[in-house]
Amino acid sequence: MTNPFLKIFTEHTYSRADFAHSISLVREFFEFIFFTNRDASASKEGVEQFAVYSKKPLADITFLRTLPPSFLAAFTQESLYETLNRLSEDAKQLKTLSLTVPVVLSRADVVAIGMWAHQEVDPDLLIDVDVDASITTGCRIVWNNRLHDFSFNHYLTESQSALHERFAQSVLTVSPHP
Amino acid sequence: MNITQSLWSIVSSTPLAFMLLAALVLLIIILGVFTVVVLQFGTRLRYLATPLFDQTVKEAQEKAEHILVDAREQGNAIRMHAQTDAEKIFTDRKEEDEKFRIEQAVHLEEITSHTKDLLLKQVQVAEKTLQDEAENIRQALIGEDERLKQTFTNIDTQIQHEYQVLTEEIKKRMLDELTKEIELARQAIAVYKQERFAILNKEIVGLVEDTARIALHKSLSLDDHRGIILDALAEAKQQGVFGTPS
Repeated sequence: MTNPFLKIFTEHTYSRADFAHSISLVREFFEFIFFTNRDASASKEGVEQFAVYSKKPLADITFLRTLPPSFLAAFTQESLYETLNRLSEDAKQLKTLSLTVPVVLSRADVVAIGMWAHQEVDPDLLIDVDVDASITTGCRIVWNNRLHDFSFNHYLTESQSALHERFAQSVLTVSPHP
Repeated sequence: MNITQSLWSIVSSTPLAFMLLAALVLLIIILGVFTVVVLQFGTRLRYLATPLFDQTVKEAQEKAEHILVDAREQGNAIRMHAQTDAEKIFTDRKEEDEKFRIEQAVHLEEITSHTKDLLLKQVQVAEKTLQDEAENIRQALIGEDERLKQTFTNIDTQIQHEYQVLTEEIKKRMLDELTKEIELARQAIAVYKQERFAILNKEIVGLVEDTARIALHKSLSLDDHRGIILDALAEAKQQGVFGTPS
């Protein structure tokens, strides 16, 4: 990872959707700092002023609060968009763990899964979550362009022979003339 | 006189009416000729032979009148005679007709009576014949009835025998066919079972999936899903999906 700012993002961002949202949030924050006629600076105080001004959700403000002062000081009015574009481009190079899940997960769930992935697989990866209702439960995983199915459907298909045998035994043992 | 005699002989030989007519015509001719002669030679005769002529004429007139009277009398007599004859003929004809009618009536009655008698006799003969024939037929039928009874008895016995044989044959065939049908039905049921099992085997996974999806979507919470997903990821890691297996 050559971009030092990318590490700051990936420490607190786990999915590609959250990453894009964080980039947007940072852009709004710095636009508030640089392009509004307010006496605000790119600092902790500026974050609080932005929180009051924008009335963003607490999670967004919390993310901004986690940004270190060095990060905040690195942005100028001129370099803002270029730096953010470079961050977006560099984020595309990060590894992606694609998950297909049966239901729409809450942000906390995505965070929990992302934290596990950072801890257990790669601290710099981003997860990409899709929803497929045909999956009963579990998930499908795409990692390094390979699909790994850990859904209930997959386990059921693997157990198809045993299921057929069990079914045949159940049918044959039932008397046709009760 | 000779002429008169000749005429009379001719007249007497001819029929009465024709003779009368011929006499009249002859008389008229004679009178005509006489009148012409008188008119032609009247003057001359008057001067030459007036006395003789007158005498002759007078005699002739008298004769003529006499002839005419005779002829008239004869004509009347002939007419009367003819009328009498005609009436007599008419009366005779009438009597003959009446007689013929009476004879015909009597004859018709005789014919009718005879016909009645004849018909009565024929009817009696016919009745007698019919009665005889009926009796013959009855006697024949009595004999035929016995024969038919015997025949029907034989036929009945034969039919009963054949019926028993046919019944046995039909029972045997039906039993065979029924056995075949049952065997075919068993085979069809076995094939059907196999096909249904094959279909159920194909669909059983889908059925279980659908059932589990419905049941699990209703029973699993988001935390449960998250836990299962994390377990799946852990298993993936254990299987070495993300790198070196543990």
